[in-house]
Amino acid sequence: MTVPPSSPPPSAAADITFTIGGFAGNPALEALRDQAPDIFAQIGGYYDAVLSPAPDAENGLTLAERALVAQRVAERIPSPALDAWYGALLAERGGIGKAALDSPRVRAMLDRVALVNEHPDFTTAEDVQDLFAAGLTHGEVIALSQLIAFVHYQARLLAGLRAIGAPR
Amino acid sequence: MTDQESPIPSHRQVTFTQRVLDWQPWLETVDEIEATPEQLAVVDAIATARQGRAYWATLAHDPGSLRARMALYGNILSGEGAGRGPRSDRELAATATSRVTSCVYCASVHSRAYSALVKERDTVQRLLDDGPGANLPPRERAVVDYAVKLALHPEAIGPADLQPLRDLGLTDLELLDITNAAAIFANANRLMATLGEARAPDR
Repeated sequence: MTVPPSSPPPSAAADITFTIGGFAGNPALEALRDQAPDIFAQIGGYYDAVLSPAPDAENGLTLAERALVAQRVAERIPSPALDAWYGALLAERGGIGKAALDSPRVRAMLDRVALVNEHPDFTTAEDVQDLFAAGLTHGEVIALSQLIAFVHYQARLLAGLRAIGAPR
Repeated sequence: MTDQESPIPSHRQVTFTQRVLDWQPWLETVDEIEATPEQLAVVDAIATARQGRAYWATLAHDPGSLRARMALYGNILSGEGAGRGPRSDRELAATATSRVTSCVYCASVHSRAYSALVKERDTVQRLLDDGPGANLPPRERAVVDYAVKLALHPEAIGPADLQPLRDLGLTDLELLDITNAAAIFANANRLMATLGEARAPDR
């Protein structure tokens, strides 16, 4: 497994997949990125939108909460590389204190992480109401949902790229 | 179909099908609770080209992530740059992932798209009916096996999982297309199946 750098850059853009995956210098994957630079740029755009949105687009979820949620999703998938990456990002963003971790808001978000990870097809309308009951807004519920879903995408993208770029 | 009064979410009662389904959100859409101009613009831009406005109008509560995701999603499923693989492989991977993650709505849209591309509907119907163990031709078998493993056991994926596709002559870029299609449906399934439910349309 590739150990990610301890200090992720604040903004990701087009290189984020290679940075997290440790793919720089891999000839097959470098060639692939040269063939489809648009896709890698769009992946970076999605990463920024869920992990590092502009201040006017944060939609309620703090940057530390975003890193925490991403780390917990990665831990559950499990994706060790993403778990380490988002753990470092959380630390860089100051972490989440114990009081906040125990708050109804953060607990509801982490319960949602567990539910969507293990039983996406078993969730109900009542589960969404649990998020509203913990004080989340519509914007926060969707930002949270997109963030969880993004990490699921990213874990599979990285796994596939590792296999494509493996020495043959 | 009696989806009233049941303790089981109704999307679990809709069987996998290529028929057109409805999707009912579990939260108010931006159309229902006073959309901002930015939200309306992003929904209108997507909903002119794609069915299912309620879904886009639900995700538009966070317009920035919706806009960024749709740029990637559209390219993954429909991009046709030099060397890109057949769209049918991507729709099949999307369907296989949706079948094993149990997103009935996603599976209906993308199995239908696959059938339209290959002008034949029985192959993907077997996947819907019988699941990943369905009897499939070699290329479809290889795409489905890879997509299913990526959906269920992503960290266990290795070069051996790509070998059947490589043996069929697929290039790295074609493998990326299938990887991306499978991966973005691990994402799409978790949005659609957790923010609303599939329903058989009213007849």
